[in-house]
Amino acid sequence: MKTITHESHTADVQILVKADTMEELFEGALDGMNRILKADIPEVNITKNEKFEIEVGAPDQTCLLIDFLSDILTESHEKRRIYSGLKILDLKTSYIKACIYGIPVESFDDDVKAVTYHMAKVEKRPDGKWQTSIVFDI
Amino acid sequence: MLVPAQIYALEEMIDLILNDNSIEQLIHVSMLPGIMKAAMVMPDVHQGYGFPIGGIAAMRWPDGVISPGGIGYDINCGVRLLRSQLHEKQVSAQLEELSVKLYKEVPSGIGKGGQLTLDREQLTQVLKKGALWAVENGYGDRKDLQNIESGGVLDFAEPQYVSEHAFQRGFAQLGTIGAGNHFVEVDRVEEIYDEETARVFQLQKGQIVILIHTGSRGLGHQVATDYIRIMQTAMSRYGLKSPDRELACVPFDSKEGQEYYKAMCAAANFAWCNREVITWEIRKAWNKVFGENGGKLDLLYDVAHNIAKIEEHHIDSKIQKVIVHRKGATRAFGPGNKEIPAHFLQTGQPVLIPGSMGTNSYVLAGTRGSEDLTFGSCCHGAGRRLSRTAAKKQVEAVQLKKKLQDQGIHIQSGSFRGLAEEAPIAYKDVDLVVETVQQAGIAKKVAKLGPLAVIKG
Repeated sequence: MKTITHESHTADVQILVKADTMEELFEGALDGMNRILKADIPEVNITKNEKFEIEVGAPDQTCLLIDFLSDILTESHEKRRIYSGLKILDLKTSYIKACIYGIPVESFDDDVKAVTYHMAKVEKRPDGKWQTSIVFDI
Repeated sequence: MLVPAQIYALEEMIDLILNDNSIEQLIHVSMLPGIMKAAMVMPDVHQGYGFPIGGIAAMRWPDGVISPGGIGYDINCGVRLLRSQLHEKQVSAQLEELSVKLYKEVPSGIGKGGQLTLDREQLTQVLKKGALWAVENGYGDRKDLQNIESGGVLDFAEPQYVSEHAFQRGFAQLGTIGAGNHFVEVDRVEEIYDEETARVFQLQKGQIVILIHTGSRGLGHQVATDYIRIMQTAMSRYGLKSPDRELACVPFDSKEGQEYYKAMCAAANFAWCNREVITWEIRKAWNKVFGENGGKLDLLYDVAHNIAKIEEHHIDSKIQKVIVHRKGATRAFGPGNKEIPAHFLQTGQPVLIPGSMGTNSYVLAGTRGSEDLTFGSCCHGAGRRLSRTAAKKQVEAVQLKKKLQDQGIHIQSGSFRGLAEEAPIAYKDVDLVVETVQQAGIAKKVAKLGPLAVIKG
């Protein structure tokens, strides 16, 4: 199970993502970002919508998550799409390969300029769950 | 800390400043390799990423570090002020019409494209030439160039260091203001504090002026994103560590440092060209409403408040070259500085300080005091004090719009939620911010502006 809660941040948007597994953490973080971009996201039929394959390598788990979201955000802005369908093909500490499925949108609700590394720290809690904060520059 | 951390603020502002992590961030900045004299924040400071917003740091050239976090994601976000030849009495009956025409003529909103879609060669030229590209292609006025900081171009730009993703995001965004706290605003000059300087700036009480606040749009954001990521990996090769990933940095004279700076200059040039094209759009709208009777809109000045510049400053009794990072801070060069246009040599350069929506903005003049104390820098605006979430909880957008309209302010906005997030209550008191820099001697008040129409995405 994953949860996304909004935290207070002076200038921008900060979310706290908690999940049972690393895969769910990535899914939750993507969902959290997408819901800032667009509050109401239509259902995605992942077999019928535009997909792109994403492959990211990074020095550590935190950078991996932020860089993963960042690449998807770039694609969202370039293609004017919300990439809410996610199929993770391979996930390690410093590498992810996934298929992302997107739907076109007329506009975004918020102008997410960037996914920042600020306050981000992917970690496994003593109870075995995963969590991180993510701050988006609006 | 390698150098002191300095906070410029009136006492009554300190509690607000201590409410977030901006001072902790300031202390981190003071530890950056090559930092000179002091890490500083202005009274509009608030928490950012890595660097606080409202911060200034100058690094030893050429081997001190450069840090994209010290410039911000919106490279060369800045402000320009256009002067009209009309008094408020001459426009009041047509303000609604003007605000509607401006909203129609100047594309705004999230991810919105503009009237121009550039091809690769055109965008490459924009990145090289800055505001000059707009002039050469019929979207600007050559007379404007002398009144833009750095002449509207940083020659160090090399578009080859701007990524393909950044290019893709930039093709359709020239001449757009975006959303959030970016705007076009019609103001009247409400008060003159310094008659002599106001005369040089050609400002008088009751005059109608127009402010533009925007930056490098998605292209600049992508440049910052790309190079923060590159520097995360590159830092360790130079033996650098950082307490905050957003403080990623490399020596300025390293391969990565030089490539970032060249890309940053290119993005800065995009922003200056953007504000010049927006000026062209505004002039069109103005002519449509007022015709020949409206006269011309001419440019007082255009300032950057998210940028890094190579400048010479007096440090330890000698002139030294430094890399000045201004993140939410505006250059404020004083009288006699050879970097500013000749017609401002007696007064110091204009410094434009936009308030929050519906509140006053200010025109200041730079001083020699800023050059002595703050690497020729001062504040950039009101500075946020409430999160967007808190602002939306406390402010009802429809009521806010009505309240502003009852004050005689015409609002054209693409987003009600955006309106609530930008409510005056979300920001510090700009009057106090400006009073601080005046008392500190780093800028002086010339004129106060009052809003008449706000156009935002």
